[in-house]
This record gives sequence, C-alpha cells and structure tokens, in this order.
Amino acid sequence: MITEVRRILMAEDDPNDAELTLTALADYHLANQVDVVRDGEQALAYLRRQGAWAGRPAGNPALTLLDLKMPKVDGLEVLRAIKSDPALRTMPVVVLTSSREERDLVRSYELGVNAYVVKPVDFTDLVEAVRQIGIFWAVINQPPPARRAAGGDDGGRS
Amino acid sequence: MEQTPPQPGRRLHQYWSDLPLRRKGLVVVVIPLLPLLVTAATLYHSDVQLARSQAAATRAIEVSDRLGALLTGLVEAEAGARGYLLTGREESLEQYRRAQSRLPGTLARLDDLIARNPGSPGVSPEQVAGLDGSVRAFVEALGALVPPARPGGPVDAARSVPRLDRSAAQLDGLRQAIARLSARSADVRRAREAQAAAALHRTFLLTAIGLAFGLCGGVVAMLLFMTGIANRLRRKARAAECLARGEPLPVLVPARDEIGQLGRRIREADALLQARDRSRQRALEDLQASESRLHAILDYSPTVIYLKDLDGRFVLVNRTFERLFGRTRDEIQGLTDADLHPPDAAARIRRDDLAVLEGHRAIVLEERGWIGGRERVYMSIKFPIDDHAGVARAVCGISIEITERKQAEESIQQLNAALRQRMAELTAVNQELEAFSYSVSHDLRAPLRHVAGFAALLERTSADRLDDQGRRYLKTIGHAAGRMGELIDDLLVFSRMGRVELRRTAVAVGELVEEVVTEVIGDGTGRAIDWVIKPLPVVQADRAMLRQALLNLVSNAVKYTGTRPRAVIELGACAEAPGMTAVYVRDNGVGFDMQYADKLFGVFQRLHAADQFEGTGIGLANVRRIVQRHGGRTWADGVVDGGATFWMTLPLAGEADA
Repeated sequence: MITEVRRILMAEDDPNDAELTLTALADYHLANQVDVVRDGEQALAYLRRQGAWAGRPAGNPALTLLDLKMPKVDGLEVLRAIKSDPALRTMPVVVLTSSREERDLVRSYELGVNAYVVKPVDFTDLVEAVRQIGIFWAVINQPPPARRAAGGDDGGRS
Repeated sequence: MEQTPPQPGRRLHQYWSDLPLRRKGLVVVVIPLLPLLVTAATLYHSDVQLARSQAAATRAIEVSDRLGALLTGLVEAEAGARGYLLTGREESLEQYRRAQSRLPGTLARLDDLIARNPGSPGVSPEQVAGLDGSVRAFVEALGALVPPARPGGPVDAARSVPRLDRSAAQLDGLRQAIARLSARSADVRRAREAQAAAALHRTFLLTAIGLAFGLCGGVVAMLLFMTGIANRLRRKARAAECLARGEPLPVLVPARDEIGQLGRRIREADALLQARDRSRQRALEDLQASESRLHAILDYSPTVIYLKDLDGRFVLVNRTFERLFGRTRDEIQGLTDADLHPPDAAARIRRDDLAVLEGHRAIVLEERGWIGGRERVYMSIKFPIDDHAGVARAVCGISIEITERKQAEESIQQLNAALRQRMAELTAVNQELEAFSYSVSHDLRAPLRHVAGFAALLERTSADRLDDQGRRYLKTIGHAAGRMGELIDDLLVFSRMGRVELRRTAVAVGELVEEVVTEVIGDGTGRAIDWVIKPLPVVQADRAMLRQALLNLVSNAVKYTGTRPRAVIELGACAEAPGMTAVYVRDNGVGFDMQYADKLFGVFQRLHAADQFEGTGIGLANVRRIVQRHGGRTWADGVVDGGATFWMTLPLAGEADA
C-alpha cells in the first residue's frame, strides 16, 4: 500500500488555533506538509497560485481545512469560490470551525463541503479529530485524478 | 231616475225625449208651418174663385153693353127706315143704311163674346143664335121696305105703313128678347158679385184662422222645443257645470236621443272623475303614509341626514341633525352651511356638494368638523337627488359619526405602531441574541479551547517539571474549561429550543419513548432498571424537540435513581383538558423537596450538589421551554427520597393527522 502524503492547506486566522491544530497534526507527522494562510483572500491566492503563492508548485492540495470566521473573505465565501471554480471544485474541503450553528452547517453543505467538523474544546478530543481528518483525507482517501499535466506531476511526486 | 208607473203622458214625454234631435227639429218646424200651408192653399183657392166671379160679372156687364148696342142699332135702323118711308128724306135713308151696316158687326161681337164665355154671363149661344135669327129676319124685313137705290123719289107711304107696323112689332119682339137677355145677364152679374163678396169674406176668415193656427203651432213648437231640447240641454249644461266644479250631479232623466247620450256621457265622466278622485285620494293617503314612514325612519336614524337645494340651502333635516346643531328644522330650513360652520369648513362642504352635483354621482368621504363644542369625525355619503327628468335638484347627505371609532382606530394604529416598534425591537433583540449565540458559539469557545488546549500541551510537555500541586492545578484548569464548554453548549441548545421553528406533525409518543429508552440504556452503565411503559397517545408536536424533552426526562429519571438498588421508571399518560394529554415520567429515585418544585425547571437550577449528580441543570429548563412552545405546561411532584413524577401536557393529534 502506497502511503502518499501530500500537502494540506489550512486557512485559520487564529494563531492559537493554528498552533493547536498543527500540534495535533504533528503527532502524526503531518505537520510539515501543512501550509497555513491567515485569511480567505490568502487561501484563494494560494489555491490560484497568485501573489505570494505564485511560485508554489502546481497542483491542488490533497485537503483544504477551512475556518469559517476569517477576516476579509470568510470561509463560506472561499468555499463558494472553490466549488464554483472548475479547477478547484473536485478538491476535498473540510470545514474545521468553532461554530455549531445550524445555518453554518446548512450553508456549508449547500455549497458542497466534503465534511464539517466542530473543533472540540477538549484538547485530547481535538487531537483525535484532527488526526482522523488528516489520516483520512491526506492518506486513506483517493484524491480525484489531476486534470492538468502539472497536476499529473504533482500526483507522481512523493 | 225615479221609477213611476208608466202613464200615457209620461210615455209620450218619454217618446218625445227619445226621438232623435233631427226628427225633433222637423217636428218643431212642421207644427207651426202646417196650418200656415193649409191656410195659404185655402186662400189661393178662394182667390181663384173670387177672380172667376169678378170676371164672370165683368162679362155679364159686357154682354149687357153689347145687347144695349144691338138694340140701339136696331132702333136706329127702324127709325131711319120709318123716317125715309114716311118722309122720303135722304137723311133718314142714310141713317137706316148706317145703322143697318153696323148691325152685323155688333151681332158678330156679341156672338163672339158669348162663344168665348159660354154660359158665363147667363146667356147661352142658342139664345144668342135665336136672337141672331130674329135680328136678321128684322133686317131683311126692313131691307124689303126700303128700295135699294131710288134717290129723290117719294115712297108709296100708303103701302109702306102696314109694313112699318109689322116691323115695329118685330122690333118690339126683339126689344123684349133683348131686354130678357139683358135681365138674365144682370141676374148673372149680381149672382157673381154676391159670390165674389162671399169669397172675399171667406178669405178674410181663413186668413184669420190660419194665423191663429200658425200662432198655436208656433207656441206648441216652442213648448216642444223647450221640453224636448232647450230645458234638457240646460239641465245637461248645469250638470256639466257641476261636473266642472266637482259638485254632485243633479238627477238626469235618461233618454236615448243625443241629449240623453250627452247626459249619459256626463254621468260616465262623473263616475270616471269620482273613481279617479277616489284613487287619487287613496294614492294621496298612501303617499302621506309613505312620507310619514320615511320621516319616521329619517328621524329615528342615528345618522345625520339632510337635503340641500342647488344653492346649498337646507330643505330637510332629520332629528339627529336638529339635536346636533341644537336648532329646530324650521330654524334650519333655508340656512346654508355658512350659517352652521366656520367659513373654511362651509366652503369645503360646498365644494363637495358641487362635486356631487357636477359629477352626478355619489361620493363617500370622511368629514371633520368642530360641532357642539368638540371635534367630530363623520363618515358621509353624499348623492344627488334627481327630478323626474333625471336632472339633479338637490344634494342629500347621510353622515354617521365615527369619532369614537376613529379614535379607536387611531389608538389601534398607535398600538399597532407600538407593536410594530416592539416587533422591530424584538426582531432586533432576536438578531442580537442570534449574534450573541453565534459569538458564544464561535468566539467564546475559541479562547476556551485555547485554555484547555494549551493547558493540555503544558501538561504534556512539562508535567514532569511540575510538582503534584502544579499538575493538579493544570488538571483543574482543563476540567474548568471543559465544564465551561459544556455550559456554553447547553446554553446554546436551550437558546435554539426557543428560537427554531416548530415543525408539527402527528407523533406517536410510544415510539419515541422506545427510541429514547434504547438510547439511554445503550448509554447506561448496565444498571438494573424496571421499565413500566403504559399506552401512550399520539400528539401534535415537533418530533425532534419532543424527543429532546423525553430524552431529558428519561435521562433524569435514570440519573436520579442511580442510588437505588432497583430502579423503577414508569411512563404513561392521562387525559387532560379537551384535546390535551398529560404525559408523565415517574421514578423511585431520590425525589425532591416540593418547596423547591418551581426552581426545578429554571436554567442551571439544581437541587443537588454537582458532585452528587453530574449535569449542568439545563435539562428541565429545556423540557419546560419545549412544552411551552407546544402550548402545554410542565410540573413535578416529588417527595424527598420518595421518587418524583414529571408531567408535561401536549396537544393530541387530530384524527386526520393521526
């Protein structure tokens, strides 16, 4: 069984949350593959390889972890942009948020989110949740085939 | 017409009355004319007789004259002959010849007269013929005595005298015959003259009689005219006059002639007029009744009703109007709105009236005015009143005072506005609450998570460098953060229970209880619990919320029977108010002091120490909120250490929904 470990994009404005999540991922050696952006605007720039991210290697990340409440462009808008962009649409997106609000859940699933996870308050629970997400999406799940040549390269890289 | 037994006179009178006017006229003309005609005819006849008698008398005179002339001629001829014969004188001969030559002419004239009027003078032609013969014989005898032509010689007197005597005798005979004839003629003449005088006398008499009869006829005709035409016409004229004056008709005798027909027509006209009068009277009474009815309706109407003419002067107002303005209708009549209202209000009313008249249609409007010391509001309808030709002649208005209604409306509007304001405020509060719970859910949980997370990290990385007390502190920090997380979550659930929309359906409580019990048992610690589940109804409720309530109640029952060696939990239902059911959950747990029964359902209210029974104290608060939102109520019975029963009432599902 080939365990392909590919990059994960985490959009999270709160550095504490980012650190806790990274710490949880680090327990399973997934932390060094995570790129962190601080708001929705940067997340879209990353995905579209624009601005500061123009030089990153081509190809979509294996997973995008999306906080909902972010400055500038919030998570739901980023989600809408991803799901309406043919190049990004097939990429798995997991909302990782503090909100249990029903409307957030409904809106997210309407926009086509792949999973919705409420961050547990308890650190142990958080670690467990993040571990399962990371393992499932970054390791177990078979990503959609890359649509472009660059994507194909990305898929071949380990 | 009085009925009298028929009498001849009356019958005649009736016959006369029935006779058509044309015939009556004929009769009236003929009656005086007839005696006059008879008189005229008689007069004529009498006149003719008179003339005839006079003519006969005249002829008798002529005959006498001729007879006289004849006698004279004869006497002259004889005298001439005698003279000549006696004297021989030529003059006598000449006298003789002259007389002799005239005699045939005289005789012929006499003959002619008699022949033309035979018998009339009393002398017949035979008598004349006899006379003729005698005269000729005398003339011949004379001729024989006188020589035809022996002038100058004396005649033989001796021989001639005897002859002369004879001729004288002949002449005497002739003279006597002529005298007889003359006498007869004179007799005839006298008779005729007497006849003529008698005729004249008769004529006078007849004329007088004729005149008398004519006069009588005239009088009779006049009488007939009076009785048959004039009097009756006068009576008819009087009747017509009565008809014209509307007085009762005099008695009219019926007849079949034109005047009788006229009378009949007058009677018919009278009957017609009376019928018309009666129906007019009835119509008038009906009209008066209708009018008084209408007036009563107008007067007892609580609305203000008025009628104004084209110039805006009041023609009619009802009692409400009078009371409103404190004036009688007699005072109001003829006034205009300018007399009752301030100038601007009067002008506005007049404008509305003119709009009604010009537009020729009804308008409905709201009017305000300062009347009777306060401002009043009226709902009015104004409409034109037409004459028979459809031309507007007046404006009628009906106004109902809506001041109080208006005030009520205004206060309702104010209340509505206030309500809307409150609604807006509530909505704003709700939005704030939503924002607040969102914020709680997201923003408050984040630092909490950080506290717990970093405490855990600290413990993980530095636990060995801390002493026991420090490690206990770290643990406490972690627990406290976890507890706060639970509280926040519970609070959010509670808040959501109050906010989310109810989706009511028919829910079988029994099925729901089964689910909930299964869940609780699966969750449980394998404790021995006796479940007693009685028949449960079908209710009208939001399934998810009801499930939450049941879960809370059943969980509580399980929790608070934890100290019992054998827990008994009973679920059942009994009838409540109509359409409602009361569902209960009974346990034999630790129970509670009824003194605090009300506190049980409060948010985060607990009757037991946290270390005795875990929980935040939100469960019963949620149950109460859910049940309240379904229109039901909750309560609890309990005895300390003697178990508790929690009740909730719910609306039963209708049969259609079940």
